[in-house]
Amino acid sequence: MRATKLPAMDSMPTADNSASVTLQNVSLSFGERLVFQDLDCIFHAGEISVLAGPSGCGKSSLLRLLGGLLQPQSGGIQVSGQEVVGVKKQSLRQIRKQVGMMFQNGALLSSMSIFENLALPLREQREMDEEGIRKKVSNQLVSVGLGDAEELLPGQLSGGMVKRAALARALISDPEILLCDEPFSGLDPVSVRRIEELLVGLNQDRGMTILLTSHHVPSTRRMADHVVFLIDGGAVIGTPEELMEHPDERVSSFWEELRSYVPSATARGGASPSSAAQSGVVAQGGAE
Amino acid sequence: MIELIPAIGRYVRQWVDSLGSHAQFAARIGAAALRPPFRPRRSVEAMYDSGVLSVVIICVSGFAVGMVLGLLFYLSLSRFGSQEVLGAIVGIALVRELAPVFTALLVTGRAGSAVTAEIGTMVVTEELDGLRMLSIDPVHFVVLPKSMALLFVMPILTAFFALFGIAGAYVAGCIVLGVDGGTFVTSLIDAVDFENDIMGCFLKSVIFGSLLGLVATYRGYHCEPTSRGVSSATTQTVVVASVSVLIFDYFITALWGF
Repeated sequence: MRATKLPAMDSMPTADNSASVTLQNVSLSFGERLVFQDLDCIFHAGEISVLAGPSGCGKSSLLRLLGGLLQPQSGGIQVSGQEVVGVKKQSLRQIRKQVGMMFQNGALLSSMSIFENLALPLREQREMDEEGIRKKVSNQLVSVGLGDAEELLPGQLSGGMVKRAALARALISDPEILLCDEPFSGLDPVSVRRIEELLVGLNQDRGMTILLTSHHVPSTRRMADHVVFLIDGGAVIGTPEELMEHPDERVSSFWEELRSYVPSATARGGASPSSAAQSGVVAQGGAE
Repeated sequence: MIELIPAIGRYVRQWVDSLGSHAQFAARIGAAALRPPFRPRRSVEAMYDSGVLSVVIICVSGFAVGMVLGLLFYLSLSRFGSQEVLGAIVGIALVRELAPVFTALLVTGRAGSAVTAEIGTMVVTEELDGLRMLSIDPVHFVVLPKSMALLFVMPILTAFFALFGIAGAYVAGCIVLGVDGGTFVTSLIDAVDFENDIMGCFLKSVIFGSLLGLVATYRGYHCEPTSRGVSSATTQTVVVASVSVLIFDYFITALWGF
């Protein structure tokens, strides 16, 4: 199934030179279980895209495909114009230098301190001296609010701190594209907001392309430039509001929470077009 | 009966596939060993985990096995009045056979299973995928130091086992049962040959170490990413490595020193 175009949707991404990540006719299956069939998708540079959908629809698998951790049965995937499918390991390593990935459970090396986890990729690249590495890691940890956690092991951190440490590690090599697997899962609302702000800040300040998987509807609403809803081996693309009106109930019901949700502002700092008219409601009752 | 043929065929094909996969993995480890950066710190840490932490169990087991041998051989030899060759028999038995095999089996149970469980857990927690995304080869960073550590510590631990085994036999034979200490040591030195016995022992321990290093890291690296998968991989390491050690022991013994 190909990506389904929503009716009257102006913001539908189309292929052009600014495309940062492109999937063409990608098919993936695990044994007899089909995950994607002829999936076409384009993620533009400098946008935040949220991959949503029911559990098991292939959100994490899609991120793993983009990182070259999975190979599809057929189709092509280009990241910043470079093919990811069927290339040699050396080429894949070069592509991965442009891509940072934040894993759902952090994937930090449990035997190393947070500082060592962040310093590792820099030491492997052998492009900086130890003093430069120390400075860069410390700055990176301060930017995610973990300045005092350098010497702690991942097992000594809370869930929110692990997510932030994982984000810091994903960003340590200054990637152009950031992949985040369920960055909000298992977090309290304050931690969710903090991660959201970090991601949006990266997107706005550095123009970073961000793809994240999430079940968290309010965050998706606040952050996403567009949503890729994965279903039946294909994708439906649109804004949360557009997907809420989708004729397929499986798609629209996912966004049901939004009917009672009125955000005061987007995470990007300004009032969203749809929420601006409803700001009075927010003042009266709050958004969440 | 006829329906057994496809089942046997499938089993044989799986076995050959697995053998090829092990060989391929061994080649990857070998290639990684030649590629910089070299990681002396990680190798030392892995040697500490696999070697230093196994010393006590190896020494205690070696001493106990030596005492049993001393007692058993004394009882048999005393029937023929040949107690004076106790040192020779214990020495040959320990150096040629028991020290490398017992050490390999003990290290498999203590360190081999731990290596599989650690790498398997890294698969489950996506730590290996995390390394891949940082453009770091997990075989180079994780597998190589651990497999090399098992290869290097095995001969050292085997030497410890043999020494403590001989000490155990000395205690049982000379101190407890009254065999002359000088006779025990002289017969031991006369009987144990450097080229055939000690080098054979060294060769066996190196082969068992590399075998265990390969099996333990392969099983962990390829385990199913679930807790059940890690548990299964750990069990497989102990079973496959132990059986392989015993089979290889026969062939090395048959080909070396006879």
